[in-house]
This record gives sequence, C-alpha cells and structure tokens, in this order.
Amino acid sequence: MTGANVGVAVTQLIIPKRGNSRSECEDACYVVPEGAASDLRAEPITVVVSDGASESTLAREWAHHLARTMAIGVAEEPEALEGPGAAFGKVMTRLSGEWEVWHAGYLNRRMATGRPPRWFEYPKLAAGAFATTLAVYVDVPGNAPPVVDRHRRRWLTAALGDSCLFQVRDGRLIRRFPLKSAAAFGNSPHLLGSRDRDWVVTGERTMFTRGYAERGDELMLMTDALAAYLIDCADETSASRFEGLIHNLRDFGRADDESGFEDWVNQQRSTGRLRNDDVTFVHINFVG
Amino acid sequence: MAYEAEISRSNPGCLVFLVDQSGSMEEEVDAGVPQRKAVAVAEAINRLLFELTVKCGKEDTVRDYFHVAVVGYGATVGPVFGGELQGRDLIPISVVADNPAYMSQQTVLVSDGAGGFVEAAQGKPIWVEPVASGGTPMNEALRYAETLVAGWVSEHPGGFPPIVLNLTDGASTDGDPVGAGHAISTHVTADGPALLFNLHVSMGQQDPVTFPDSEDGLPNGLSHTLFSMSSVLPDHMRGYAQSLGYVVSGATRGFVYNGDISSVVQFLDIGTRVTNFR
Repeated sequence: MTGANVGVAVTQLIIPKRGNSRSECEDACYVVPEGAASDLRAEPITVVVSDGASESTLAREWAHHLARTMAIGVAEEPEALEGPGAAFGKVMTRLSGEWEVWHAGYLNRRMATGRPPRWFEYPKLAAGAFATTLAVYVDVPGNAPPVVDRHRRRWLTAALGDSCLFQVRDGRLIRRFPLKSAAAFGNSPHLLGSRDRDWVVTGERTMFTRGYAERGDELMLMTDALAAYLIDCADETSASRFEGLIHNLRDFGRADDESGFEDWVNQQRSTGRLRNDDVTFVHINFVG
Repeated sequence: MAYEAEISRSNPGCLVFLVDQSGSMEEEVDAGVPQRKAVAVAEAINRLLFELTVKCGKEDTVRDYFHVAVVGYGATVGPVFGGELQGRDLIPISVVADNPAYMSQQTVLVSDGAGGFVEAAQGKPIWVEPVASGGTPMNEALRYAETLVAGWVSEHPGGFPPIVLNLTDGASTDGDPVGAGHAISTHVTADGPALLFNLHVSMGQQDPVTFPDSEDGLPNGLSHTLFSMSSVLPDHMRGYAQSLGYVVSGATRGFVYNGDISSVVQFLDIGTRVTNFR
C-alpha cells in the first residue's frame, strides 16, 4: 500500500424536504479544509452538520453560520471536541460573537431597504435562531496510541441534538452517537440557540465522544430523519434492509451522486419509511 | 393511525372557531379583575390568531400552513372578522396576518442596549371585537361550521381533518345541538374524521371540569350535551394536555365545562396543537 492511495474522502449530500426549494433547505454542512469529494486527504479534517429548527427565525442562516464558524473554530482548536473546557468555550464565544455582527447587519439591511421587521417577527427575533449541531474532527494518521496501524486515525466528536454519527466497519454498525434507538428521536431535540451565552450549560448539554478509524472504515453523519431510518433498519431482526441501506449510502457517497441520492430519498419518503424532512448525509471514507 | 397527516403549504390545516355572541356574554367573569365574557373570549381569539401567525411566520412572510374561520352566533350567525376581512369565512393565515381590523397600540419595556429599559410603542393586532346580543343559536352555528368543513374535506381529502372549536357560555336556544355537532364528524379525510371541541365559559365561581373522559360527575344537562358532541382528543393533543398537567386517558374528550379565562387560553392551545408541521 502506498501513501498516494491512502487518505480520507469526504462527500456531502443535502436534499431539501419534499415540497421545499433548495433555498428553503435549513440543513447545513461545512468541511475544513474545503476540497473535492474525490480528494484523498491525509491532513486533519473537520466536518460540522447543522439542522436549523424550522419554527425559529433565520433557521437556515443560523445553521449555515453555525456549521461554518464551528468547523473553522474546531479546525484551529480540535481540543474543543474533547469536552466542555476552555477550548469549547472559545469556539462557542466566537460563534455567538460573529453571529451578533451578522445579525445586526441583517437588521440594518432590512431597515435600509424599507423592510423593517413586521409585528409577527418580533417574538421569534427576541427568542433567536435554533439548530442542532454535530461536529467531527479526524486527526492525522498515526496520532493515535497505541499505533497498531500507521494509518489508524483518531476522531473526536461532539453533538447537541439529534444529528447523528455512525461508524461502519465491514458493513457492520460499530458505533452510533449520540442517539442509540429510534425511540430517542422526538419533536424536541436539544438545540443550540443564537442567544445562548452560558457555555457551561451548553457544554453540559453537549455529548462528547471519540474513536479510531481503521483503513476501510466509514463515518456516516446525518440529520435526524435519515439517522432515525438507519437506526430503525439496524435494529430489525433481519439484517437485509440494513445491509441494503449501507450499500446504497456507500455508493452515493463514493460516487458523490447527489441526483441518485435524491431519487432514493424520495423513494423512501413515498413508502413512508423516511420522514419528509431536510436530509443531510456526509460520507467520510477511510481509503487504503 | 389517524391525525398524523403532514400540515404544509400544499396541504394546510383548517381551523373553525365558533364564538357565542349571545346577550349573556355581557356578564362578567372573574379574571383577577372583573371582565365581560365577550371581552375575555375575543381577547383569547385575537391572542390565538397572533400566536398562530407568529408560528407560521418565516422572516417577513407568513406561510399558509392554516386556513382560519371565526364564526359568531348571537343575534346573527356568520363570520366576525372585522376590517378588510369582513364577511369572509375560511381565510389563509397570511391574509389574516396582513389584514387585522386595526393595531392596538400598547406600551412595552424594551432593552436600551446598555443594560437598561425604555418604553416603546408596540402594535397588537385586533381581528375580532367583543359582541354580546341576542340568543344562542348553536344549532345554526354548528350547521354553518359543517358547511365549511364539508367544503374543506372535499377539496383536501388527504389532509389533516378540520378542527372546529366551539366557545359558549350557555345552552342552545334553537334546539338540541347534538345532531348538528355529530354531523361535523361525519366528514372524514384519509387521516380521520373532522374534530369538534367544546368549551363552556363560566362566571368563574365554580370549579372547571377539564378534558373529562366520562360523563361521571358532570353537573347538569348542558354539560352532558356538550360532552356527548365533543371529539376524543387525538394522541398528540392528549400528550400535550398531559404535559400541561391535565389527567388524561385514551377516552379524554376535547371538552371544558365551567372554564375560566386560563382554561380558554389552554383549551385553544391544546385544541389547535399539531406536531407534523412542515
């Protein structure tokens, strides 16, 4: 095996809920460093997935801001995903500070263009925007004691809400995080609010974990509708539906096939197995 | 399973409010300070419309997740929206939002951005005014609602079933309303029969009977009549009522008797609750 054939490939696929346009999609994903799905990366990688809460104001904008700013912050301070310590607080402070600047500009632009907030906007503007977040940092190869495989890579993750990470090895599900069962998905997931300022409380509500990926492993990140569907399939007595699902997701991820993924998502929605919601799927493939 | 259909812009929900405007609504209820029943009910409806608009708001637009009718019954039976909406029945919520009869100015305290507060004028939308005159033609009102429900179901056969919420303070003066009430639930979408919930507003001097699951303990004929024509709460509404502290069972009905002002607000909150909201 040569180094040129070893690395991590990252694909992100986002499909809006049926009946909504892409501009109305309130899921967001950001990868640092940016690159093509075909790139094999040896450097550290940060991925953040966020699912904006539909009933809040500016949910799409907050989810995009959260994904981008958190990914950049974690890439600079990976220890932010080791637990609710100073680095985590630093990333969160940056997140809220930059949002405040953006939000003030947003309101100024509305006023300047003769579109001040209407009476029904004030309650939601006062409450702020809300979204789930799932952040993953994949370390460089070999930086994982004990080094039994020089290509083994450590990963760190943090989650607030019901966007989930799954680790797949040889077609088997070996990790699920943070939710473990289909029953754990409800209508009121934990959310990160744009007005949250108490990072101790946010840290206490955030789940942290870590793991190691070997060559051939896959990390699959997804927002709640697809995550609930995957867990549902994984917990069936018969393995065939889960195996088919993983096979499909792997193919869409490896081929960066958004069109095929959208067709498949719509098929699953029409059967009623997959809830009609925005769907984000990130495939992190440890090639080698 | 019934009552699980998605509510969306292409498949909106239908809410019909029936508001008793009979002469007895002039009487006062104990709301901390004395308040006429007609005023308390109109305020509750205006507040519900405000909250529904906020819920459907997406930045500077309102998405049409619901169509709403408010029908009064007293000296006459018919829609009670004021202003530009006068005379209209089922109206998309975005049109409701754009056309309050007027904005009532109120003074609120807002942050001055420097740790203090300043007084600011804030508009509060008013769509429905209190009215109290005439008898209680509940039969005619329920038949009016049934007409709206029938039309809606024929146009939205796969949608979430219409919800009719009847707010009254007394007995029907145009005959037994049970038949007209039951007729509403004969209109069925693929997601279940239309729902009728009833709230009886009292003087505030007797304990309310809230969301009962049987007729045991109901105090009089009127309460039995209203109970018998009230629908069983769907699962998600029952769960929400439970989360608010009400004791519920699988047979719990959308019915409150001798309701006080807080009961009116919670009745409207529970009775308009939807979860599959996209």
